[in-house]
Amino acid sequence: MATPQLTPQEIWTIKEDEIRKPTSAHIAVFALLIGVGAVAGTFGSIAIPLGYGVTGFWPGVAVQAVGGIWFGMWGVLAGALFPFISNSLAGAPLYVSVAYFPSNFIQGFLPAWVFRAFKVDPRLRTGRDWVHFIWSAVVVNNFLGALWAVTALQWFGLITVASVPLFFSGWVIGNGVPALVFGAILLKALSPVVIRHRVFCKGWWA
Amino acid sequence: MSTSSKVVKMRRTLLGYLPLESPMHKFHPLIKTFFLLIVSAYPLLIDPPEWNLTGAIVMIIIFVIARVPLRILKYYTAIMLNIFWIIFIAYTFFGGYMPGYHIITKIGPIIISWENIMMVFVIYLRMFFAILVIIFFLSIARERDVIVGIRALKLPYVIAYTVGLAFRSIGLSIIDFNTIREAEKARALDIKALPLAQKIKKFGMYIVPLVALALRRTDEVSNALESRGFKFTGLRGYKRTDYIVSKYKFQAKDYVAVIVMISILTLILYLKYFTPYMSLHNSILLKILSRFFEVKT
Repeated sequence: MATPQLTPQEIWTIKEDEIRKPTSAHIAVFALLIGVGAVAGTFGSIAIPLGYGVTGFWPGVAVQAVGGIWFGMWGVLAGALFPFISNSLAGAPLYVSVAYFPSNFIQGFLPAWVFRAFKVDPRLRTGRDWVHFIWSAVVVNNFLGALWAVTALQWFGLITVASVPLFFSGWVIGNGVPALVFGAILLKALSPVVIRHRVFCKGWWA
Repeated sequence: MSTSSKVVKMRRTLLGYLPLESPMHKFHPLIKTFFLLIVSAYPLLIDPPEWNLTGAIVMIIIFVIARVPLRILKYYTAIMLNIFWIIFIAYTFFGGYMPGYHIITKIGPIIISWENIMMVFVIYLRMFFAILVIIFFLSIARERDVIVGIRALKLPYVIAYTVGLAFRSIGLSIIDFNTIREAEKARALDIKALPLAQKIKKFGMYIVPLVALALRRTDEVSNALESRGFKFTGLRGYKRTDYIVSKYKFQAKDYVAVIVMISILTLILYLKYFTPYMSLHNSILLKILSRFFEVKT
């Protein structure tokens, strides 16, 4: 018998008799996402480095975006924490990684919030889903992330005002392209499975 | 047949292997975390490049004393050079111009000034020192050290367990990654022959099976946790036996190491905020360089 199709409304709405609590499975997915993100992030940071952990191509951002969408705050926190490992392995000083924390947090948080608030289908089935995905998980989140990151780099005295466009565009493009390509592939390929999995979070923690 | 070569026993660290006879193994694991947190702040507080250069030289001496294989630094040569070029380009060509800057030359609309070149040296040597600190930490610290550090700080068991699982999952993801690559090779894909852009695109595509495998593993791990009675709240009513922490004790040398690190940090803060010694104006290296560029500062 075929499994009934879930509507976007059903995907995100918690039913009256439905009990959702954080479980050990959420702890496991949080830790495992850090592992996957660290591997994906390290490669990107080494592939086309622009310095200070900023890279011309960072596939780790796809893990941040979809992690937040699927697993709520567990995914957002995993996405904010794994860059500590990937940046360190790629040679970024500890406190530069610390300064990037808000950037990495917002890159996962914004799409997570938008998909929940507007009940967007993570399987990306309609034009509306794509529009919300592109503005929240590709454009605005990376724009805000880049804004904070270059501010932090400038605050540390690592870049000048005149070189801000170089690092800003490096961050936005280096994150935006993989977020669009790999984020969309991940959502299209795995969302149908993930939304039925026990670790999928309709709310923020469960 | 006998062999004359000496077998060196090694221990796996976050970045490579460290010989068993390394003095770093004699310190409490928490000291390594303290080292990262405290010493990482030094280069950020220091402005004069010769101080950061001294710090970098001291770090290399510590690498040797700790018996960290120096070939680890070779992996970072490309990154170090890349960072130099980025800083060089960012400051020399995009450093901006302010009235009062000492102009060295002009290339079209771009003004190359002494102040921007000076900052290349200041920032690069700061980064060089900071990167050596993080490489050293990754070269001496093990997953176990981080977990013991968390337990020694009496943080909840769930945090220690999650951090441990996160570190373990990096290893598992690398194994999965290699399995996927081997499967591609078995289907006659020559990754080495691919151009860089294709290699990068190919790598990105690995994320899908990696995430899928992580999801599958989530079930295995959570089932294992539940079957062992794991709870967020930890054990109630009685204390968990902390076997791993009981293996380590804070000794005199650990206290000495912490006192030395904090003392140096305090000294740097004092010199920076209460004396003129840490100002760029008093930098000997910059004075020598300004003479080289024939700039009167």
